[in-house]
Amino acid sequence: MLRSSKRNKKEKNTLHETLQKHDYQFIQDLRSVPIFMELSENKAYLSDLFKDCSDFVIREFQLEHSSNAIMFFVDGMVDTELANDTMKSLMTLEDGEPLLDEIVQRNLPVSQTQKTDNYSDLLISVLGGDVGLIVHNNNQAVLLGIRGMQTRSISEPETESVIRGPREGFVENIRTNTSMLRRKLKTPHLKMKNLTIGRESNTCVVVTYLENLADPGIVQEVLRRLEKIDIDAVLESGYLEEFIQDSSYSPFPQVQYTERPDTVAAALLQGRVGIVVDGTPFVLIVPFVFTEILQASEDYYERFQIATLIRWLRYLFLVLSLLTPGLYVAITTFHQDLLPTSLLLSVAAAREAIPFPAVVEALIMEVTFEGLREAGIRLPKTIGSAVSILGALVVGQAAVQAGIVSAPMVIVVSMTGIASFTIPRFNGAIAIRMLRFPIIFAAAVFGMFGILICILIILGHLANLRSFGIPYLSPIGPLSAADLKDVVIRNPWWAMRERPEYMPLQDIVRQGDALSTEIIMQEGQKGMSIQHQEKEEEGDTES
Amino acid sequence: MIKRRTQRVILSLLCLLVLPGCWDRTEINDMAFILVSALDLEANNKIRYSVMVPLPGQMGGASGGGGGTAGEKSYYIDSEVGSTYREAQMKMQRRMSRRMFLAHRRTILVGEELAKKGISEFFDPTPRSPESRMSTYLIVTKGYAYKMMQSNPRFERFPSEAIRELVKARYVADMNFKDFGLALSIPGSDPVAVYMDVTDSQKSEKSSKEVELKGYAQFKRDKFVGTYEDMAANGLSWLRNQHVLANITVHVEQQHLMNLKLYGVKSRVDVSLGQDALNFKIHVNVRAKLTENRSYYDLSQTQNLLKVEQATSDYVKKSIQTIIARMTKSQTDSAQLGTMVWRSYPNEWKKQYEKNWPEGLKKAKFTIDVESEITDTGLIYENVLKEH
Repeated sequence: MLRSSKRNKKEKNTLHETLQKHDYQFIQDLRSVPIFMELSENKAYLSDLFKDCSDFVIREFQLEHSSNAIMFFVDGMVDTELANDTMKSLMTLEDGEPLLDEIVQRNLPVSQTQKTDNYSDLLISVLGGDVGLIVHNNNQAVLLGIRGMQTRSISEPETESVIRGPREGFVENIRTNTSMLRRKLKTPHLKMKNLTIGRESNTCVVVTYLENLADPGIVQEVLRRLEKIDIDAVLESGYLEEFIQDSSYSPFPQVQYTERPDTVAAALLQGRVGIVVDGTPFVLIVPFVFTEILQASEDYYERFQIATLIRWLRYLFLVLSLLTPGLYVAITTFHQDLLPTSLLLSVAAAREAIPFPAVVEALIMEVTFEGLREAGIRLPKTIGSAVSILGALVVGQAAVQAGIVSAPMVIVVSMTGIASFTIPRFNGAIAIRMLRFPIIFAAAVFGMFGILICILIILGHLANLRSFGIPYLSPIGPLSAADLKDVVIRNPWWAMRERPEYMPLQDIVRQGDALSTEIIMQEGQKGMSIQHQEKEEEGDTES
Repeated sequence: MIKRRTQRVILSLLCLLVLPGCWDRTEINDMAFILVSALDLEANNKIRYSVMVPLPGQMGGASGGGGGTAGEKSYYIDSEVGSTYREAQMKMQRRMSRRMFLAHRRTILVGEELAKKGISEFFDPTPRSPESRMSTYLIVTKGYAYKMMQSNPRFERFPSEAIRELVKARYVADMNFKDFGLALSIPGSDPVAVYMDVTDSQKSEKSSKEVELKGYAQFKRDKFVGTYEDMAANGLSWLRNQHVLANITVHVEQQHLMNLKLYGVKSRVDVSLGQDALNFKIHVNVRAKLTENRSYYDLSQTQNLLKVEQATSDYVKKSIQTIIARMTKSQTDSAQLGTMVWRSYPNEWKKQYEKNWPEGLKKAKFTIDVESEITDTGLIYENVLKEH
């Protein structure tokens, strides 16, 4: 099945003798190679390593007093102007044979510098966009953080758009992303642990959490699971998700992903742990529980009454999107006595000319619908409208008129479609989408009994799932009654005194008691006692 | 190894899924939904069993808007004679390509002739099949039951629907198959059923055969003996404290015709043992609305209104007296008064009355006491054209 493919042990290439000198498989193997004292040796070594790499720049220059140095970087990743300024300040350096420490302290107008003594760390940083500087007669290199690569600017997240709420979404650059988090939570409690995963990609991964809230056990577990990953490249956070989740074969997601910094910040404030991966705008959040599939960030920004009602709607539609086709099949082929007579007769009349049994009909429509949806996602936007026209015509109109599917089936499929679109978390919707098909089969073979069996199996599976040790169905099972304030309803903020109980937290209190008690006592902050300014002249006197 | 075993388990489970086959699976289009069945008595004690089955193909589907072909019915009626109900049904099944399905039958029509012979035997085949419902309405028709199926009410798609809507309406007591069976099986009661007839609509361009509520069919045990119509029917509902809407016309001061809608009639019957006979104290509370005043009777005057109330009370009292008279005359206990005796005085009931129950009604004393209240007279007190 999905067993990880064995890594090909590369046949040792003996064609080039030069390669013998730096025989390495991954860049991490260069940890044992020190920076040479002799500059020319370093230069030769680098140019050998980066042979045929046209984007790698090595610039040799002289300090004022004959001491030589090289600067090297990847073209396009560095702010050239800053690099020039740095070089300028180095070239005018006066003392003879300066120590590297002195140079760093006095002559490098760069805010981020770092020293290293081996080629592994050096190259990882340089390939990540830093500028490397080696001065003759020093067995250390300096890394200058003057990155200036082109990145996508911050824009509204397309997969999680809101009507009310911040419009910024993560981008591909990890430092932009972490800065967006830091801007939300301006506290030193917000920790960002660095990891490098991927032997070829050397992807920067940041594990972020609130030190004063998050359970150290969970943080340790996240770090432990991430550190064990040994793969050539991490191109998207989805790679990591599949490695770190608790149950690999479950259709249900045990890791949340989001494009929204506010969602991550809210999760961190509940003691969860965020995993930011360089090169993708999708940040992972663990642990993840089932009820969060049905919670959107906007629930917390919009008025609580509508948020509560919409949640109920989502619960209803979750069930509908899972069961409607199955129920249709079961009722029309096994339990005809369940329908009111007039409805049954309408269904019978609509089905009169249909050549297929109800199961086949349901499968045809469901598969067509899934196909349409898939086609719509992949296509460029300009062709997308063509797909929707085709879909509306084929699925809606023509199929019914041609007598291939019945009109009630079209309603069932569109109901399911709409219902599955109401689930805010896409990965949760996917699970429901997939499980619909076994339910249709079970309904076709066993009727309502089959549907019930399927529901029981799904519930059993959900109850068995855990995400980083947290039961997947919490706070419903095991029940923690206090947390239902954010599941059954969405409590107004002044009533959300405590953080979720099901999360192992160091500090459960979310807000001070005084105001919340006041609001509860008098149903809001009453403005009766405000001394309004007397109206003296015409015009606005409103204070 | 473990993997192997799970694979085997899954495979055998999958086999289980297919092995039982789809025995119960029936497409909706392989079924004939019986909407109503009619039972009649034929010669030689045989039973005629008639069913009405919709034709989904004729209904024009959703977009057709009622199927264009005028005159073409979207149902058909078939009938067969057999020595038992099921035999007749199975005979019919032989010429039906779709399986007859009983779960959607809402009404059972029983012809007068069969009802006279007794219908308790029908309480075996119906509860025996899980498909048929006990909440079906049981209706006795004037004449043959299949005649009622042949009616063509203009409002509904199917005559069965018209029949059901009428029985469900609040003008008769809500009584279904189960209630009938209950009345048969508890001591001191005789069942009643809704009694219906087919009438031609009057003075319309194209006359149609409409179904019509007549009242109640009176049963002595399971045998049909007579009908309660109009006053007697109303009296029965009021005596049994069943919530029905009734419209009555009364004369006030012998000359003013008034029409009233009785919408909240509540009755209470208290039984007590007298010296040698039973005492029934019947207390009725009537709430009514005045719907029509045919003469210029001034209803703004309280004493006039009180007169109308008195007339109403008299009418209700007379209705109840009528039904009691009918019951004692025919020796049936349609109002289930015996049940009340049985419940209140089980020992006396056993000793004295159980053997020949309705006899006890003959000697019984009835005190009827009616209180009426006219809650409103509509928007006006009197005819708007009346000059002052």
